[in-house]
Amino acid sequence: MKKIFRQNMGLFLSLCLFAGVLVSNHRVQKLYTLPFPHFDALQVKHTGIQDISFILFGFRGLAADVAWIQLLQYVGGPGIFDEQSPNKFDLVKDLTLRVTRMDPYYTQAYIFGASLLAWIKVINRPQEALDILKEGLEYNPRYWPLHLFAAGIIYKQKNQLEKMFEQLKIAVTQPDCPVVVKAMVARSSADEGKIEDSIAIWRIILADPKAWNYHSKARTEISKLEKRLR
Amino acid sequence: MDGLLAVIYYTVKEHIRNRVFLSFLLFCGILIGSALVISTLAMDQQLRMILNVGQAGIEFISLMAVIFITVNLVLTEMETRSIYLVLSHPIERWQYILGRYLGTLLALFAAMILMSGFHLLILFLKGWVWNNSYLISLLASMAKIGVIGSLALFLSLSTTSSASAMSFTGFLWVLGHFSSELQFMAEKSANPLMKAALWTVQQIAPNFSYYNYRDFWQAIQTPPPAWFGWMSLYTVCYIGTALLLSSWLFSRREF
Amino acid sequence: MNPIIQLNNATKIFRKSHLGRVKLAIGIQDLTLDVKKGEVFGLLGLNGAGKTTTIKLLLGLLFPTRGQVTVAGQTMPDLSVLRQIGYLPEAAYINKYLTGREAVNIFAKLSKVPSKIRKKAVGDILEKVGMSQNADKRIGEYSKGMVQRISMAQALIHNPDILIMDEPITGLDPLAILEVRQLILWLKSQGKTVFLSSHNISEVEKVCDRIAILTGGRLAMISESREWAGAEGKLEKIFTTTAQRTESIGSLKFS
Repeated sequence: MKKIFRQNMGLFLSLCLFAGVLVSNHRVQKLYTLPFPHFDALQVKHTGIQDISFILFGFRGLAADVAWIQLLQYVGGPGIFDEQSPNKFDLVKDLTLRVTRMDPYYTQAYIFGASLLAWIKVINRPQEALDILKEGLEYNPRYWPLHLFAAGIIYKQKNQLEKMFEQLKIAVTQPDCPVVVKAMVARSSADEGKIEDSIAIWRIILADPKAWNYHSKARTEISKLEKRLR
Repeated sequence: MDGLLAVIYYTVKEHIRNRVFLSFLLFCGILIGSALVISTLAMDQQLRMILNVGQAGIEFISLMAVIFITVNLVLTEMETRSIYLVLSHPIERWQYILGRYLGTLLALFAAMILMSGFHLLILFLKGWVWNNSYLISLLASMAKIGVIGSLALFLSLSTTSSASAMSFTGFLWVLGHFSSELQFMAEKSANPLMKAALWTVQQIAPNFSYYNYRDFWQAIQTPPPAWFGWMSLYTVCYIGTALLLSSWLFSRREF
Repeated sequence: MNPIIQLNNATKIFRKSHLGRVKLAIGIQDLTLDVKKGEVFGLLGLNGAGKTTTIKLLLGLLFPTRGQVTVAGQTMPDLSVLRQIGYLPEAAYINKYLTGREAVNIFAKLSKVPSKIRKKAVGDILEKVGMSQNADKRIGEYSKGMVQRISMAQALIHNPDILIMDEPITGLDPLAILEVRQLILWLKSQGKTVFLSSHNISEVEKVCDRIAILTGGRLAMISESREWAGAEGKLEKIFTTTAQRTESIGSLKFS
């Protein structure tokens, strides 16, 4: 008996340690629940295998980044600022939620997607924009720019454009506001006849060294808008 | 103790002088470097993408390295028969297993720190501001590599070929990232048998999602300090269980 | 004089299973023999006769299926006994990533050579085996003869009482064979016990006090040096009339 115990001591000890695994696993799960939507909430209609594979390999953040690039590629094609465009960009909401359901803390994605839906004329789906922001606020209640953008969209829905632009002015002066959103708001301002506001936003973009790829565009727009002012 | 240290020492030396190991490092360097190019597609999210690609790249390369190296750790010594010489000296078999495992982890952790240093250099050059979460994420990633390494070692001793051990380890890696979903499915399932089966698998499989601190450090509610303590205990117990089982199997093995 | 090595009805049966089919193969069967302290004992036999199995049983690398294997009064496997044993394998299986000095130092640690004298002991033994000039090169760069010298150094570093040599001259050039012979005779002069296996009869008859011939895992005969000393070709005759092929190959028919 003693010999058997000695020979199998490793086995007995491992069973004891495994009890430790079970107890600690239980405590870990009790103390903290992973703050992510479950797989059934993922937007898997078009790219399910890619997204789930990334997550199952442990690279959730990277999966969201890839989805983000794919969203940018989707809206980056020709026609988004063309009111006569046959492409109505129906997938913006789905593709934005695809990013944010993989990484619900990707705050810039909520703002970008909602801005596209709310302020791009060819899309113009403010309700969908609000849906995205609402979801963003559930996960990031303390991230106040989301509140700001939501307020702006609500004012737009109520046709209170002055109030909407007030909100947006505050939003676009924030350093972490995505440059692409600043550009959208600048365009929208110009469309609504707020030329000076639009120039001011393009100048903010021009002063931001990280927005270098928008600088040329900003210079052109400023010169065009200044001509309009004259 | 001398015996254990000797095995750790020669394992570390073996790895850092091995070309395969060095090529893993080089490949990771290329991957992190390429993040600079790929991330330009992310527009003003470039920094976030460099951060994510780098962290994921370091973990992925370390995962590949730990699976490949650990599965072959004892098997290669058995094939080359160098194990005969080691075990013909007065060293306990558990010391050999522990020494080989710790030596491999030391070499891998050194490589991970080196890769992270390179990653941080790129991040700082791009204007990133230091955040302690990076360090916690790296430590969590190391712990995860430690757990999967111990499982790879156990599987290499309990299966018949290195290919099957590698496949099983890869499967456990995926299962480990699925375990919180398994728990969710168990809660939702109406079938008691299915519920029990899912619950059992979820309890036994390593819970790797919890080590992905990089994914949830920005969450509104981050884990309390006690959680880190329990996670550390979980890691130690899991690695300990796998190593004890490996030692037990190894002590019964003949050469 | 008490025997330092004893095999008492030692039997080793290998069990191999493939797809549920179990095959049994006899390594050695009911082997009984004693080796006295200070003796040079040779184990002779054809390929597959059970020589390496016997040596592995003495080193605790294999466990007997039946019977008992005792070394220095302890039943094997026993770690404490391994401190008194030096093992020189047929081919030196030493990690190629280490330098000669590192390898010998590691084996000194494994053999529990006290740290105070370890460095000097390693230097001395490298000097004795003629490897001090090449000790800091990696083993991967060594010739076969050089690796064999490092293997000798690791077997002798802890000044063991018993030397176990498995086919020590197989594949060596004539000069190296002469050197191994000198080593065995020197060990004998130091009062050490040498247990060697070989199928090189002419070498065995030059160094051994006694020999045992194994056939098909069984002891066929034991012979003392007085039975062949001075009579050239006598041991070869004893061997060829005693040994029988057990592998399923026939003899060459060119005569």
